[in-house]
Amino acid sequence: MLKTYRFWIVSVLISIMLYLSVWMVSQYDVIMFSLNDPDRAPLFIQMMLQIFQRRTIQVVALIIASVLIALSTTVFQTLTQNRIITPSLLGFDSIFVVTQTTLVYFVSMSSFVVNPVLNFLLTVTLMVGITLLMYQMILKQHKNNILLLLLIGMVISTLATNYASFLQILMNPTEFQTIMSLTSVSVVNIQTSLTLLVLPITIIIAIYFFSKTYVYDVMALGPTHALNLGINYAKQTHIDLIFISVAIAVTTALVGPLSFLGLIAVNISKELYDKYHHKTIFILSIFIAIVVLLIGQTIVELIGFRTVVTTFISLFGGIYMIYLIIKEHKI
Amino acid sequence: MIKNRRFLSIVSLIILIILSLSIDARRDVNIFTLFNLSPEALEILLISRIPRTLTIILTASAISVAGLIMQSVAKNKFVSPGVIGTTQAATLGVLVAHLFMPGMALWVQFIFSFITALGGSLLFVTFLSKIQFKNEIYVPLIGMMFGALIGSFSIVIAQTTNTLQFLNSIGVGSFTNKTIGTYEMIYFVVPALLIAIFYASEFNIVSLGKDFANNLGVNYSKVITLGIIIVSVITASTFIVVGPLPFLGLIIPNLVSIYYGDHLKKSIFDLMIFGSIFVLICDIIARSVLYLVTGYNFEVAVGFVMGIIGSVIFLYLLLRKTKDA
Repeated sequence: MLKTYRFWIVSVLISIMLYLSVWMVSQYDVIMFSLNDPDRAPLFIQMMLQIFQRRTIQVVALIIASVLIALSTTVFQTLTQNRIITPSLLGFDSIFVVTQTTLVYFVSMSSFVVNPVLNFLLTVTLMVGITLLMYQMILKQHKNNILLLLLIGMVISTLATNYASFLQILMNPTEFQTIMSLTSVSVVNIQTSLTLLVLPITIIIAIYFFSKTYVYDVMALGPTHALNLGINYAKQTHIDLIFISVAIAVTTALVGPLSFLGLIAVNISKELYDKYHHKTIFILSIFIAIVVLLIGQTIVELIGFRTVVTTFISLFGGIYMIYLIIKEHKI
Repeated sequence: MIKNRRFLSIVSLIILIILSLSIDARRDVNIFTLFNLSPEALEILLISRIPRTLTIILTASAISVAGLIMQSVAKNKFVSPGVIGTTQAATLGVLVAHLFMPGMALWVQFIFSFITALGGSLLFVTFLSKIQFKNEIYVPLIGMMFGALIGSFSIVIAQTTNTLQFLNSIGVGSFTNKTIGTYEMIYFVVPALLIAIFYASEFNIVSLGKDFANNLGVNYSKVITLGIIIVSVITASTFIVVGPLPFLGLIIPNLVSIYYGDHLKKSIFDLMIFGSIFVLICDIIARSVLYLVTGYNFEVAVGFVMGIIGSVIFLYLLLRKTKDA
């Protein structure tokens, strides 16, 4: 039953409904009071519609993030021939913080900082640029060693975090406040103007990945077999890495870091569907990512925002990963 | 050749110690006025600067040795207590101690963080022995994930108890305010260091693998457990006094093994000297950079400086290592 699309489509719809309506639970008293008051009721219904509208945009943004993360993680795992790796480990979130900090420190209060769309475009371009530079420098010299790339990405992200904290110490408090508001992107703090901007990018990336599913099926056999079967492995890897870095950069700038979401979604879908057709894994993992993200956010709202959904997901994702590694006994 | 290097490093260590003793916000107490032996200068020297320099040297030597032991135990050059989650576990311990017994003495925090650090590293080492690795880069990758898991566990606890600020404040290493009364915990590393020096050859043999070690008459599991206990003591006590120092345990053993080879019994003192030099340089930069840039008498936490310099050195090591392989 868990394998059928119908089950997962229903779950996605249920979780969207849950997310749209969960705020009513905590505000139950207010809602009942206002609806029973004949003077307030019409105004209040209008207000509720506004809340629903805002939440719908949030749902769209969360679905965009889930789609991008699920697709890019699946492809990245195929490229690395490994099930415990995610492209978020390349350190996009710290590059994001560094870009914002540098912008505010050197050109504070310019339109790049104040205008969210310009800021978003510049940040994404820089993030993609830096990762592409890393690919060029490392993959060309070290024969497509993506593992080395990951380790270097992690080190660079430590370097970047320290550099950013250093700049933040030198700042005056106003600039520091700007940084804090710019870098606190999270699932509950989505810029609505960005969602519409990101939608076409997501569709293009999704169409590309879905059009190449058969190529990935072959690439999953390993570089040697793929080369033998007529795939330009190195070139395909480079193109895929570019798309992956655009996808992760966009999600990081839109909803913040969600590193373990991709791991959970892709691994659960690979557990459920024990063949290796990328088309099915793509679709299943997108559905699972949406369900995990929306249900997680619903739970966080139900327990009164005691924690954030990112920490929630990384805690359970980490435990799940360690369980997987122990179960398989090897990496 | 090696003797020359050793001489040079000892000389530079002494110069750096003198520098470290004579730089501070009080610019009237410097290397020249110290020799006048005025009572005030002596007091500042005894209360603040000697404890600080002593803390730096002990911390640096201890963390470098801990990194080396961890690398022998995990049989991998890319790990250190900071990479595989021992430090994160120590953070968790301090957080738990803060939550359940606020305002208790430092040694209570030490015991808590020692227990969690021990648990975390034992868990990771048993975990390592259970799985086969196709590529040695997986070991630090898994370790970083393990550390991130423990870290997010601490964050969840801190978020639900409103102690996130406390968690952030203990998250950066710093040698500020290490005066008499706050630095004594660091003496816990001295016995750990002595045991490490005494068992240096055993650690060397253990890094060759289980069967080989048993063949050579070394009790493998006993030495591994001893190593993890030493690492946990060092991590816990340096964490309580100073805080996490990124990359120190990772790069210093690697640099020393490039220049002095892997014979631990011979190179363990070079390791300590080298580590102390590195941390002294970082600390002097951290103390003076804000004064040089902005003119204010503030100091940056040494963790930031070390994070920047250390990650550059580590990148160099990584790229160099794969070029040879």
